[in-house]
Amino acid sequence: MKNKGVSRRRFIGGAATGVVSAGLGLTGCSREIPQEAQAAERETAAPEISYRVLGRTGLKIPLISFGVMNSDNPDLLRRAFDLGLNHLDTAHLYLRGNSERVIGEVIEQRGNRDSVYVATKMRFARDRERLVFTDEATAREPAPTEENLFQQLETSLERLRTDYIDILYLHSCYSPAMATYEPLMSALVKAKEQGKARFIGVSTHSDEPNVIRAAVDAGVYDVVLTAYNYLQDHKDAVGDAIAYAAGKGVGIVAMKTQGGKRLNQQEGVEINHQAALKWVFANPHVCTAIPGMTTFEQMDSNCSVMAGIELSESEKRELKLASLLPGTYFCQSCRECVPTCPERVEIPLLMRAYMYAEAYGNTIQAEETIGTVPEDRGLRVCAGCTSCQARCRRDLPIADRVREMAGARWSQA
Amino acid sequence: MTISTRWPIRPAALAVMIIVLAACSGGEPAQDEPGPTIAVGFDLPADGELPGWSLVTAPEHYEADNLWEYINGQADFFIDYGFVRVETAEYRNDQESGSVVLEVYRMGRPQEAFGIFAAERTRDDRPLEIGAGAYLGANVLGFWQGEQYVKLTSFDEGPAIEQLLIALAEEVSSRIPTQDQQLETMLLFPEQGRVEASERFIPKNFLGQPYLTDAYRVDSIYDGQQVQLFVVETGSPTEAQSHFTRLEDFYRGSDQAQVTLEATEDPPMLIVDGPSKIVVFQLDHRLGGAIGMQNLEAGLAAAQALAEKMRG
Repeated sequence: MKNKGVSRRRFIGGAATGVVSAGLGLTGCSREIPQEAQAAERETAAPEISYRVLGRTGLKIPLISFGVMNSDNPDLLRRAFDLGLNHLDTAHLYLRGNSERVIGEVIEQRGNRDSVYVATKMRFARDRERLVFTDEATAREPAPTEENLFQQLETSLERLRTDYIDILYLHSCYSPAMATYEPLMSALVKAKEQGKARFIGVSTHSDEPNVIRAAVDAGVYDVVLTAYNYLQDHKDAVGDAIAYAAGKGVGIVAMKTQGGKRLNQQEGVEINHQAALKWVFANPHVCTAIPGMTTFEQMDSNCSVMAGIELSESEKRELKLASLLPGTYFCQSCRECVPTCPERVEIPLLMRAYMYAEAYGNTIQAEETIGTVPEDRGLRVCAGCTSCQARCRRDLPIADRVREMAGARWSQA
Repeated sequence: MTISTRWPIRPAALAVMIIVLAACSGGEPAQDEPGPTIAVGFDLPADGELPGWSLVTAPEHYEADNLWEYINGQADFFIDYGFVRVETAEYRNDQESGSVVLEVYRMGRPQEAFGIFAAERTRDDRPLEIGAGAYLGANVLGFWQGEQYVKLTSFDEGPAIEQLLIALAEEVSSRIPTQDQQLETMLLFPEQGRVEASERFIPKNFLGQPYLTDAYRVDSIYDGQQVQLFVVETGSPTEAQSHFTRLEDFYRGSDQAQVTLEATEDPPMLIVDGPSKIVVFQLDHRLGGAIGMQNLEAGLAAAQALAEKMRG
C-alpha cells in the first residue's frame, strides 16, 4: 500500500467483534453514542429471522424479502445475504435489465446460487383500457406469445447468470383475463417442465381479489405476488382472496406494503414502515413481503420487524391515522365526482393542482396542472357557479378547495 | 390515464421557476455544481410537425402519482431520481414500416436526467452524441438533455430501424430548448483510465447511507485494476466532515472489516478493508474516494489521484 510517511495509524478493526453484521442498528451512529455502547447496542439488535413456507412450493422464506429494483449498491445485496434474506424479487424490464445483471454478478461472486431464491417477471403487451393482453406487440412490450416468453426468459437467465429461475411471474396482470391468458399460462408451464422455472405465478396490483381467485382457479400457478396494504380501500377483499389462495396451496408474496412511495410522498407524512409491514404479516397466509431497500438503515428497520410482528396499540393508532390521511389532500382520480357536477368540471385535475400547491408548496406544478384543464371545464366555469353540487366519495371538500384556488395567485397565471 | 398534452410554460411561470429552483437548491451551493436552471418544458410534436412522421396515438402524460400505471415497479426508482412528468406518444414513419414510441421524462434537475439515463444505459449499448449524451440498444435509443431524459423505442430491430431512431432522436433533440449541459462535477474525475460510458449520478442513499446525496461515480482502470471513483457533493465543508465521521463510525461497527484512518495522508484517507474495500476522503465540501475494487492499493492510489485532480 502506498503510504506517504504515515506517522499515526489508527487501527480500529475488530472493535465490534461478535456483531452479526455491519449495518445492524446503525441508526445509532447519528446519536453520537460511545463506540463501545454502539457495539453493545448492535449485539442486542441482531435480527431474528422468522420464516414462513410459500404454499405448495415448500420454499422456506423469511418474512422480509428484498425487492431489487435499484442497482446502485451491490453491497446492500451482500448485506442482505449476510442477514439471511434469501429471496430476491426483480423483473425482466427493470432498468433495461440492469437490476437482474447486478443480482447475477453478486450471486456469482458469492457462489451462493443454491441458497438463494430468485424471482423475476415477464411482461407483455396489453391494452390498458380493456385490461387484456393485445395480440400485437407494442414498441415497449412484446406480443404475448410463447416464443416471446422464452426469449425474455433466456435473456433473464443470462443476465442473472443462472440456468433456472425459482419463481417466474407473469408481470402485472390487471384482470382475471390476463392472469388466465392461455398462451402465456401454457408457456409458463412449459418453462417449468423444462426446469427453467421451478415455480410459476402471476403478479397483480389491480383488481387483486378477482385476479388472485382467477389465478388460483387456473390450477397451474404456485405463487401470487399481490399488492396488499392497510391503505387499500378493498383490503378486506384482498385478504379474503389471499385466504382462498392459501386454502388451495398457492403461496402469497406481498408487495406495495407501504401503500406506495407516490402516496407517502404526496401526503408528506412519514409512514411507520415497520407497522405497515406488521399489518401485512398479521395475515398468516402472507408468506413474505418484498420491500425495496436502498439504505442499510431501511434493511435493519425492516428486518427488526421479524423479532415481533404483533402490532402495538400505538402502531395501530398510527396506521389508523395514516389511513385517514388520503382524505386530507389526496384525490384518487376515481372521477366519480365528475358526473355530480352539472358542468362536468375536471375536478380530479383541479384537486391534484390543489394538492401540489397546498401539500407540497409546489405552485409551479400546480399551475402547470391547471394549464392542462380545458377552459370550458376549469376554474372559470366554477367562478360562474353559485352552488357547487360536486361530491367526492372520500369527502374531499371540493367546493371549499375550488373557492380557495380561485383566490390563489398561482391559479391566475 | 390520458390527459391533455400541453406543457404551458408562461413567462411569469419561468420567472417563478428560477426563483423556486434557486430556493430549492438549499444551503450553500456547491461551487462546481450547475447553477439554478430553468426547467424548460417540451411539447411532444403534434401530428405533421415531425417531417416524415405521423402521430399514431394521442399523447399521454403521467406524473408522480400515477407513474406506476405506466411503468409499474420502476416508478419508485424514477421518483427517487427526481421524476416530474413523462409525456409519451407513438409515431409512425411515413416511408419505412417502423413505429416508434417517444417518451420524454422530465426530471427535476439536469443531473437527475443524466442519472436516470445512466441507470438505464447498459454495457451492451453503443454511445452516441445526441443531446448531452446518448445510448443506442437493439431497439431503443435514449439521450438526456437539460432536465429531459428522452427514450425512443421501436417495434423492430436492425440497421434501418437504428437509422430511424437516430434521425428521430436528433430531430427531437433540436426541439428541446435546453442545449447540451455538462455536469461540472464529472470534470473532477481523472481522464486517465476512465471507462467510457460508465458515469453515474446517484441522487440519494449513496453507499446505502441516507445522508449521502448527489453522488457522482465513474469506473476507472488504475494500475490494471478496476476501480469505481466517486465524488459526493455536500452543502459545506462542515457537512462534508460530518458525513465523513458518520461513515467512519458506520464502518467501525463492522465485524467484517478493518478500518484504518491514514491521518497523515493529505487529505486523510479512511480505508475499509473487508468483503467490500472502500477508500474515502474529504476535501472542502466534497467527499471523494474509491469503491468496487479487489485490490486496496489500487483503490488508494486511484483515490489519491482523484484528490489531486479535485485540488486542480
